[in-house]
Amino acid sequence: MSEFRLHEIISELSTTLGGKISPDKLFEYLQGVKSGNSSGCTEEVQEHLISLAQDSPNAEAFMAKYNYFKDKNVDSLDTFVKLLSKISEDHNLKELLKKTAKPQGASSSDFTRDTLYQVKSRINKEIKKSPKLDSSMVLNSSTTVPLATTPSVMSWVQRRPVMSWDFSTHSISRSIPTVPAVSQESILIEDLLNVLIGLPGTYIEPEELKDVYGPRTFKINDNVPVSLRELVKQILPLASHYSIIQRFTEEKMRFEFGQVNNALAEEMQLINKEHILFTIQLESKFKTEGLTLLKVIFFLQRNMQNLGIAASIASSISKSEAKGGKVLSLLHDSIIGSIGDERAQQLCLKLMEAACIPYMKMLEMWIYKGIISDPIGEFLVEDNEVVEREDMPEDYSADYWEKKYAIRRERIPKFLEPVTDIILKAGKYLNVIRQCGKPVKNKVIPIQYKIEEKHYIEAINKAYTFASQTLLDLVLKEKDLIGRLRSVKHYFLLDQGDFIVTFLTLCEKELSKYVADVNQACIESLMDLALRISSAVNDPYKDDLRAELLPDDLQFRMLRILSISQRDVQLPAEPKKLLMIESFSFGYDVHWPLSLILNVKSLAKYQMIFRHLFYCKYIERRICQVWKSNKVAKKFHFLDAQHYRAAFALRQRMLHCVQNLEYHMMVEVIEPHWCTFLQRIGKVNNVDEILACHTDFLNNCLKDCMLTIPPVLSTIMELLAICEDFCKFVQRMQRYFVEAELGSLPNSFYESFTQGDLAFQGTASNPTEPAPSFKQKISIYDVEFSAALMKLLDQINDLNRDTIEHDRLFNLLYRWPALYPMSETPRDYFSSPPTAPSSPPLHCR
Amino acid sequence: MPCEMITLQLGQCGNQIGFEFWKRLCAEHGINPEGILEDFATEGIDRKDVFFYQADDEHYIPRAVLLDLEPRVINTILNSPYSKLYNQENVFLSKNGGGAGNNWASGYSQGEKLNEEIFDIIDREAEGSDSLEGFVLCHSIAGGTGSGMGSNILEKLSDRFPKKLVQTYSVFPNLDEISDVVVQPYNSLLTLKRLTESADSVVVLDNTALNRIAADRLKIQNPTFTQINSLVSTIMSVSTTTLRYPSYMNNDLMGLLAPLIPTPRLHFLMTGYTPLSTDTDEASVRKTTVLDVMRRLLQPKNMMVSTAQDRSSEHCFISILNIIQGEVDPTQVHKSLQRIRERKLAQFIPWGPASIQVALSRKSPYIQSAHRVSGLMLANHTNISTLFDRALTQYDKLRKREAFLDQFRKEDMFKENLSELDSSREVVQDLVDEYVAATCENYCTREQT
Repeated sequence: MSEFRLHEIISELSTTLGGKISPDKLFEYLQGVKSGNSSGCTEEVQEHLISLAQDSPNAEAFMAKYNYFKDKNVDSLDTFVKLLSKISEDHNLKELLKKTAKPQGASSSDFTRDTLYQVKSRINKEIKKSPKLDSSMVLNSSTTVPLATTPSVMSWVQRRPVMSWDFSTHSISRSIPTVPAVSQESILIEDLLNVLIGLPGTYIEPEELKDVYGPRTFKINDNVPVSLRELVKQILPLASHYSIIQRFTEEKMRFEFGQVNNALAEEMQLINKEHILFTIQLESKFKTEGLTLLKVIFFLQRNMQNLGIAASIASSISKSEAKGGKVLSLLHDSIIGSIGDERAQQLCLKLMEAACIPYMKMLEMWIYKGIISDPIGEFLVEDNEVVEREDMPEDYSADYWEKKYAIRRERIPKFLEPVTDIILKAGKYLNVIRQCGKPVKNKVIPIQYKIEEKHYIEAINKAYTFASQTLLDLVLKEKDLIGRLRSVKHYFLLDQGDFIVTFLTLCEKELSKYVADVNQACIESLMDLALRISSAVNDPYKDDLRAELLPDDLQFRMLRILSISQRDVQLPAEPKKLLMIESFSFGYDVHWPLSLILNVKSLAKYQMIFRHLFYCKYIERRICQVWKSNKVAKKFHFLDAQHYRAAFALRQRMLHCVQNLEYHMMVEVIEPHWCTFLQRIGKVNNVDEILACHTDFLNNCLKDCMLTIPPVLSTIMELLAICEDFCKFVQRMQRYFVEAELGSLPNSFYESFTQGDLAFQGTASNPTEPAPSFKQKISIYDVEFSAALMKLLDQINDLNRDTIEHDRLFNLLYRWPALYPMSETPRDYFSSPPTAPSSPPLHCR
Repeated sequence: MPCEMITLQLGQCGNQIGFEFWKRLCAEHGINPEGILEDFATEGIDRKDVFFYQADDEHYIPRAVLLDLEPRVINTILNSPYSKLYNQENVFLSKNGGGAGNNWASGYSQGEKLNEEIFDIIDREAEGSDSLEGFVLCHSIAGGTGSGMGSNILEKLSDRFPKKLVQTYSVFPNLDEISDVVVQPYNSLLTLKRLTESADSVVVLDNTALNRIAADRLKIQNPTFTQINSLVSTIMSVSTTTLRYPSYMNNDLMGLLAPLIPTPRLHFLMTGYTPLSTDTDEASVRKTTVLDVMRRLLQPKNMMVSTAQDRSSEHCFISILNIIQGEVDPTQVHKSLQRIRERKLAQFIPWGPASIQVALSRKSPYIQSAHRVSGLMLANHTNISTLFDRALTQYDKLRKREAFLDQFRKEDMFKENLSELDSSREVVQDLVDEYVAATCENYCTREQT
């Protein structure tokens, strides 16, 4: 799990739990604990165990369960024990758990007919989907071999248990003759030699197995004298080891246990073979020279040790039902455990090397080619096959990056743990490169397991560096990521203002209509025209821009997004009938592999910023239009012109307010963040870092443009809405006051000022009720505007000053108080000037 | 292309500053005197099409109309290396070639007669642009052609293109020296009326101040016209830089002018530019920071308008726009604005938003400047009314003696009576009054009768 993701989870957890500690601190703490824990202090665990056992009413059952799990090598058992003991110490928590446990049980029984119906329909839906999925799976078998679906083949040993090289428990009743004491020993040796290679003896009989993976016990005939019996007992564990190994090999040879187990089983079989050979030699020696039991014990010492080690490994693997990576982890553990005993370590190493071969082959395929050839599910990376590129759902790229390849924790061999992330990334990057139709030419260094870690870690690192560098070059140089982002910035962050001015001029009429009344094709063609006649014509990527009409307005969408993470946000009622300006946004076609970075999520963020900026621009333009049509007032008589001054002054304040807001967002927020982003992207090592930088950039922009603080956003929207209202009103009135003041103007002049405003006639107020006078109306707007502005400033001022999070926003407090000249003296928001965050020079494009 | 501007240059002065302006624009956009793009400038992200359009053979032609009643200046232009730059059809010379004799009335009536021919040219230019934003008129208000014919064209322009913006760069006469044009006060007053009523924004270029700046700042005694005009061309080019090098904001003339001009009549703008240096003067290069630049711009001595500098007077800024060029960190801008506000370096009107607007702009990459940061200030200051006041005083002196009115009486407009002069005086007086009123808190609410 990457650090970034961990971070996210922790912060999510802490917010849902309503914790007051900042996630960063928590994260640091956890990091510390994690590194401390990994040593696995057994003593501590024992202590916890004892205390737990004391507390529990059923101590024996608990201990038995613990031992059972311990045998199975369950992951993180120790930490779980610790957690349990912590819980048992904390009474409050216990109470809480008791409480929560009950209702859950109740709810599950709460199964009405309705839910049944829902489940049914969902299942039906799934069934409909599934054939499509199957066909696509067959088509796309390029990266992974489809999982075998044939039922597990019964091994012949199971079908014919007598053919096993293990002991058969079919007791053949034989009459046991009494033997004179002199020949007792040699008969016993003969018997023993049989037993050692899995054949039943006359005096030594294998007993029925209690545990399939457990050691085998033998019954020695009662007539055997005690002295010999003790000697035989010393040798019998070897037979038991043999039996375990034999059972292991015969079982693990089956394909469903995976290639690693297969390879290990083969190696184990060799050990058994050797043992059989040795026993046969012993037999011939016995036949020719004669042996005593003591001699046999002496000769068998070495085998005893080897087989003992192999058997213990075999049984621990079998018991924990290990497969693939876990087998390797267990082997690795036993290698580490046998440090000091060179012979044992050699043996373990031999087993390990053999078992590793198939796994390392998979690893090589993955890190050098990006292919998973893992039919049995052993490899640590898994192809989720969530989505197929050919289907091309909208958010394919985001899903691809995050979900397509996943690490299976339990399959990681311990010795590869530190490089897991790197392994995942290396193959993932190669896959992206291959999907672009590029051949991957990688220098293949065969990877082998060595007790000194350096070798394979180095190889993996090299492969990773190659993959990440190749992909980075592909993305940055060949696919011109920066150029792309610049182009996106032109359109979504409006850094080439003339394009947006042109576009606004062209679509002026369309933007104030309702969505239903506008033809999208028309907007598209106007957008094309704007692209071609503004400076955007120099942009090589301009053809990827699209116009989009979104189903909800910006405020609604922002609130909906925020309401997912913050519970206290109240969703407004159903969205109203949308105007074009509220619904419009640009879209952008991004192609593979850049769609990994410019994925749906980040484009959505761009769109949010764009819609906000665009709306501000639109309002600014509306106010400017009013200014332009107001210019006729200079022909009014000096005395008459006085009546309009209040309206003009208010318009001026509104314009100032909107322009300052834009200046803040564009010049003080977006551009500095962009420069920082460019600097950071110059230093990245892999595509994941690019992704992280880009996400940071967008999040910072969103935050500093005040889009993520719902109350502030809604106040800004309110402010802009008042401005728009005011513009509509003045433009509607224009016709009347121009007529009143300049009745004698030439027709052409008069018409040109009024024709554009007829559109607003429909909304004129009801003639029967006395409308407020022009002056009154203006002063109403003035009061509304001032109040909204005041509210906004207070809201910004009330934001948490302790963190540096909102530093940039406070800059606005300096600019805006200048907007209330009349009624109120500007508040002094600062006793001392804050230091604004320093940012790189503007012109570093 | 959108937001195109058509430049009209009128009379001797207008054509001279226009010539310098085009020279400068060509240099900034990398266009050579023949209108052909230089090799180094082919990959521009600038917008040449605001002021130029491309002919069929791709060479650039200025959207300029050159008008004069006498051939002298225009002939100089046509004999210069830049002669091929202009569209020859856009050069209009009166056929009789006699000029207006420094007489407003003569210029005005000649303009009236030549009206159709002139507007044929202007209409053609206007139709040739996709979405015309407005006109830029360069002229002086003292002479005959620029003021008289200029006034006529201004009136016609605002009638014919009421939705377009009309911006003028108007050169005001030098009041320190005695002019050889005796009727200058009449000319000025009559032109001022048109500037008030028909132009949307007037950038006042005061010859008195220009000469003073040349002497004080650039250390040139007796500056030549070319030197003064290059100062003017700097102002003109920098004030349009946000249009030509698009960035986040201020990409159209409307967005640039609207915050400067709250009420339509108060549209006379002052300018200031810093740091100033001539081509030959390398020694004057100083360290420039945003704060330095902004502070210097607020000093009256850097203003290109000479107004009575009375600190105790009520006069104050109506609005300020600083166009800052160069390597600028937005944080510095923010800090400088804070500093200026704390020190109360700029006094604003009490009834409007009291802050300096800043536009950060890119520079032409083809012109090397020794300065890291430079800035242009466009300001609307009530102080400008003192300039009009002086014009009124001079007019009154002349009018009291009924001096030099014979020349005016020759023309149709003044044949019957001199009411035009009286009405112009009234308009200018109202303008002065409004500027004075704007210094008061109750400007918006007071009802004067």
